[in-house]
Amino acid sequence: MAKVIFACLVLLVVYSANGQVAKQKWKFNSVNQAALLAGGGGDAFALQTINGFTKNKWYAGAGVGLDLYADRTVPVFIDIRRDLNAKNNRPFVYADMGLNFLWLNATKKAQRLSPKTSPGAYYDIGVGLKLISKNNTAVLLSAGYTLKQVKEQLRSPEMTPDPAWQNENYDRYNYIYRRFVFKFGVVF
Amino acid sequence: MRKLFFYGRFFLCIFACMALLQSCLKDSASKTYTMFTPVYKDVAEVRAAIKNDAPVPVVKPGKIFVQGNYIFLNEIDKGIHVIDNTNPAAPINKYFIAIPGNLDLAVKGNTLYADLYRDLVTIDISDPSAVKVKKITEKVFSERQYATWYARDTTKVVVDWIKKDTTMSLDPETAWPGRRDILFMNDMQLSYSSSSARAKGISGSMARFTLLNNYLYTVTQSNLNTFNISQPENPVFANSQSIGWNIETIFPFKGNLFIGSQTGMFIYGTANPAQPSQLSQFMHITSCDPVIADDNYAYVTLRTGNTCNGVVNQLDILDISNLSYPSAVKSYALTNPHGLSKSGNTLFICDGEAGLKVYDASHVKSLQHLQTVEGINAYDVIAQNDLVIVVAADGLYQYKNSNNTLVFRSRLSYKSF
Repeated sequence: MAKVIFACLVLLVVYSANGQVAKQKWKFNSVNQAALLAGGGGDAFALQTINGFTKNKWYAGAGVGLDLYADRTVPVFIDIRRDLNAKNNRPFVYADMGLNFLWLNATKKAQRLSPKTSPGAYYDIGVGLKLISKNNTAVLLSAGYTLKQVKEQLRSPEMTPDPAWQNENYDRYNYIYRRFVFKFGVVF
Repeated sequence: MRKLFFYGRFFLCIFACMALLQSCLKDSASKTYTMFTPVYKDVAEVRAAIKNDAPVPVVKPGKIFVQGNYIFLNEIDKGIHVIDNTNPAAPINKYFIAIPGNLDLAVKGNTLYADLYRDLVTIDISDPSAVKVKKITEKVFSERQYATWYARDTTKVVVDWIKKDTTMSLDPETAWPGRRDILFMNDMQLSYSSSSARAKGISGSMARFTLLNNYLYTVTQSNLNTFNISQPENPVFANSQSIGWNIETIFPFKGNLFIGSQTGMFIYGTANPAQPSQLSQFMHITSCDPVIADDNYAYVTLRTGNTCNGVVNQLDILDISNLSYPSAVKSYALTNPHGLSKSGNTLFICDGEAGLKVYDASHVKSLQHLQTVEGINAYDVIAQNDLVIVVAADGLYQYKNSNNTLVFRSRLSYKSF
């Protein structure tokens, strides 16, 4: 169902867009996207905002997102993208790399006895289409592959032979989530 | 517009392909845990080695006992450090008595009592430089037969454990949050701290061994064990009685035993010292709770962040003027309180990473906060006359109590000589 809804939104955006080329030179741009994630564990939504600078065909920025696949996490990343031509409707490629922070709600935190967490890795790479409109904004469509890692330490339920070790005895979990990602958003 | 339709159909195709290929992507999960493998020695060899050894660094301190000019500091599961405290400004880590499996101790006069797993070891310490084992009372602490769920080979003694990290793959479906949320703690942290004093020993509030008149009383997770020590070097096992579950600490006061458990405080009378009888109990919310007492009140700390599933951090004060009917007086919120001690009207509370807190307890309904010693993660405290000794995470601290103001005297660092 999530896929159907997402597909309809994409079609709506595509067919209502039209635009002009806007020249950019060290210009600040904000990229804001919604995403559908599809992986072995199911589907989920995500949001991202990336803020950076454009020069010629290159864009580099820093981004933060909200990723609801499996555990709720906040990826923080560097984003680099390049337009492949200078037309109004131009394809582009992008690559993101950064860290992924686990953000548990209060209920899950209590259920897991306040686990220790450390940032995992976050990657995203794909291709897309930029549809530039009259007022120098643009609509983005992209598809790619993304990976996020979640690292967590939970107190071990097993008793240690030396009681002094009990408070230091953690089971360390490492989760790797591999997804396809389909995004649409706006640049302004 | 034609191009837009083209791109739209193009992306829909990509979208459809992704949907079809989605199941090809596999999430993965792994778990790394620690395995413990015992290192054994023969019982005879271990017993023969119980003597004064050269001092070794304090690594994992447990119970503490102060008697005269000596501090006896438990090294958890290893033995006892003998610290010459003639000059509290410069304590000397003098000897080490190797007792594998040792968690608790008590001292009466020139006799030290210590557990060696299931056995009670009686040691003559009249000459601290040449201690002698006088008696070993076997199999009196039955629960110590087990290490976690592992039943030891009782013909041997575990002297060490080898830790090894092991990683295993998990099915992400079963490792995911919804199912992992079922995890619960099924272990209980033994409280450690025992102190005994030579002249008249003083135990910390976390003790499981205590002395009252001619008896040694010890608590396990569920039992109160009684030993007749009218002949100090010949303790005789007198009685073991079940007193509940998750028992943690024992504190003697005026002929009574105040026993802390995860769910409450029990008061036992020793009219029949060989078989104490319960006078009353006061139940509280589940938590680890060391307890001390004075003439009229019992002081209990409750804390979170441990294996006792505690949910509050506070000091409870109970009116025990009628031992049969203890009643709550007041609770004070704290950060993460552990052991406590009282000297006169001054109450000392180890409040975890918040440090050591000092209160004027003249009026229990309005404790006056006098001082906080910050920068130490305090675990247990003994206050004796003007000497205050604190077992902290990074050392054994000593202070002089000068008109209710603590003045730093020394710190015996761990992993040091």
